Amino acid sequence: MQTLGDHKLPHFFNYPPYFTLQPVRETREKQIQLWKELILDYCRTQKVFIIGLEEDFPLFSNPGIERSLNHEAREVFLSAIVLDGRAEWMDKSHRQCLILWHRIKDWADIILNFAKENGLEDSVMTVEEIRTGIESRGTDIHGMDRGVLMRALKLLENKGKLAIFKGSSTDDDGVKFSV
Amino acid sequence: MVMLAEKMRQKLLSGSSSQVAATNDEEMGSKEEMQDWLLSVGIVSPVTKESAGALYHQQLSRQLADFVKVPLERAGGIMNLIDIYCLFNRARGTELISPDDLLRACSLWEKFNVPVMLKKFESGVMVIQNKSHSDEEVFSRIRSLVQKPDTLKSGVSATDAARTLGIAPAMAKEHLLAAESKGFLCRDVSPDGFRFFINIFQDIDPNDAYLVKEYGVYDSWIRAAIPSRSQFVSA
Repeated sequence: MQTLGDHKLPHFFNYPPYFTLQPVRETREKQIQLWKELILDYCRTQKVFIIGLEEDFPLFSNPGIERSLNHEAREVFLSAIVLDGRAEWMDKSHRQCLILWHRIKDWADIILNFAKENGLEDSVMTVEEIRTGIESRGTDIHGMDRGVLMRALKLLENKGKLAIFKGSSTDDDGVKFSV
Repeated sequence: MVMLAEKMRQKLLSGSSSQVAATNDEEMGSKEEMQDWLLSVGIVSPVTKESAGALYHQQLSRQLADFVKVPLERAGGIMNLIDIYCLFNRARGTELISPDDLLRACSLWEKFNVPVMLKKFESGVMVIQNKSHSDEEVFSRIRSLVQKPDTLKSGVSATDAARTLGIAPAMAKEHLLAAESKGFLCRDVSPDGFRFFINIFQDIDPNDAYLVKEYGVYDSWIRAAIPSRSQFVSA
């Protein structure tokens, strides 16, 4: 099967009309659904958190069939994901889109489980250690976007599951779990 | 030219409506010549608002139905209304009809048993077509056209469809757009141009995008378009 990075692409990625925004309502709805799934799937396997609309996001073009999504199409598909609550525009002019292939609350659950599985109750860890340390290797947490991680941690803090404390630099920011 | 034509027409009209026979051979000759000329361009004698009075549109309607037979056949059974307007007025020479007259005359066809009809596409384009050139017939021909191995892979342009259907590209495009709005085709717009493909989206399960139903449209498309199913393209 065709791959992009190590992500397996579905066959319809080679269908030229897939790259043209369809005008007929029912057809467009189907097309949007397929793009939403593909974008979320791809971002999850490739750990992509931010898509820049004007940048060369590899999923938006298929050089094999010489087609790529125009700006309007990109915005329509990403807006559909935003509407689903699985992405957020980072700016008013819709140039950058934050992809939440896990929702913030789902990230929070994943981090909580991570803490439990690694016996981190009552222990302290820096935010960077959570993100890049050995314990998180092989999990979705490893290499995750720092901004998203902070939001998930704040959510957990509000639930009383941990306490965030600032270090002398952001590298030293840490959490104390009280799971 | 117009003055000459007007003179001729007056002579003809006075000749046909009066009971007095032609006064001399010369006049007879010129009248016959005139009728010959008119016959050669397809109009026996122009129906005018004067000669037909209240029945004007009805008579125009019948004359129009007769007139369009030949050009319509030549055009493969479907023609743009604007083209008919030009052809018809050119043939009449004088006493040109207005677009409104044309439209009214065509609309009256419904009432008569004529083999032609007026049709308006969703895009607003108005055409005249042979009743035998039905939408269903064209639709099924488009269906077979887009499911051939090479058209599954590369789609069809309006020109391709025009060639197969034997009609003008502009008319073919209208039919393709109609098929698209029925959900049968998808468009592909690129620097290569404007092409249509069979719609495979309808055959893909959004909850399982990697599933290919056997013998479905998606399956046919894959067989035609993807030579090897194990290509590896790295980013």
